[in-house]
Amino acid sequence: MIQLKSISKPKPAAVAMAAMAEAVPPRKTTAGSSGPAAGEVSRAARRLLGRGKSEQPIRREFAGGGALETVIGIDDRVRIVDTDLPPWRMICSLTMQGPGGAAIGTGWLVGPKTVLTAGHCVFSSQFFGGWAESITLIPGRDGSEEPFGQTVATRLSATDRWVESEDPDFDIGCIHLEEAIGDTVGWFAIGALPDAELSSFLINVSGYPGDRGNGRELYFHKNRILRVTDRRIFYDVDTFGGQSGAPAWIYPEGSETPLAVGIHAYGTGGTPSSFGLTANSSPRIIPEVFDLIQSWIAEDTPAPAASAP
Amino acid sequence: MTKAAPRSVRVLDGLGNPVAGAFVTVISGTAPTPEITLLTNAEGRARLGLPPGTFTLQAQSPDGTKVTAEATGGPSDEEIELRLA
Repeated sequence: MIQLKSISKPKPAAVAMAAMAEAVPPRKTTAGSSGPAAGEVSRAARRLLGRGKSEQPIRREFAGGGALETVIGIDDRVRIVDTDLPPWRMICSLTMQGPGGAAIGTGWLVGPKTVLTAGHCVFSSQFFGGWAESITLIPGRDGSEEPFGQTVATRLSATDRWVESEDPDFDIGCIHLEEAIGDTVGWFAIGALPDAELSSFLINVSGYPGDRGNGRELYFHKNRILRVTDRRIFYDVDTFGGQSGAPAWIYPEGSETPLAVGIHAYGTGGTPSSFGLTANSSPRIIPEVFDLIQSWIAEDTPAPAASAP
Repeated sequence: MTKAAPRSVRVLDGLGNPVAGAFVTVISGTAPTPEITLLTNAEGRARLGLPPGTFTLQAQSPDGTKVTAEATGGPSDEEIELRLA
């Protein structure tokens, strides 16, 4: 059983406890939160989201040549405009500042003050020469509209396997907020599910791509999970640069709570050719990753001390 | 994953002037690259890492003008130039 640790950006240093898995249950989930009642249900959520499992993948049309790799065939992404409603308002546009310049990505709330994203959005030897200096987050952003304002974060963490070796299977990072934005917008549930349970689910991926809307508009696509490996989830879902860190989530039968099972990070170049698949992928939330995320949430939002009797 | 080598990318307009705030993305390649998009600085430059292999980069100006270019990854001092029409 692997052990996973968090490494956090120094000043201030915040190191998560290593997850020691002994008798690991096969299935772990959190409850998530939809946040305060919005008064209406997102039409996009009603009409577009993939729920439950599917016997077959959603049929795609394929253009002849010239298609972008991570947009697989014809671009089936749909713009989401009611980003002030769940689940969309839990997703944030990110602008990362590094010594050499800036980059854009996507993050999402997993707790009142905890945002999950790709590891390379917080730490990258390639893009930032190390840790990002700061990240500006805008939850529920829609173009120039910022329904919940914006915040700047400098406290960052990532898995040790990402920081030390930039292992794509552990390309997972965390942004710690000073303000409990999740109490306003809600947060995703997260789940470490067994292979058999994950297979055949329709998976939803939504984030802020650079090719449409200049990283300021939220785009969405869904399809059936194509393959699950020990540490990755592969899917035929259109994405583009800027959607790094986007939530990859499912809806178990009968549930309306978005359950994130991966963190979108790679285009089709990250899918082994031996699979015979054209697919994008996420590092998967496995039990060790689940425990690490839980430790980040606890670090940001400690449980209240029990009252003395 | 093979370690990526840092490379400088520069985006220029049709007159050879640097384009600040352009979006630079690796859209395909023979090795995995993260799905992040970089923003060029005031000099029209951005820094990204490319592992050994062949890659297609796209630059898009804020007004939507796009250009793509092929690049060979791995260590190199050669700056990758993308010139918008």
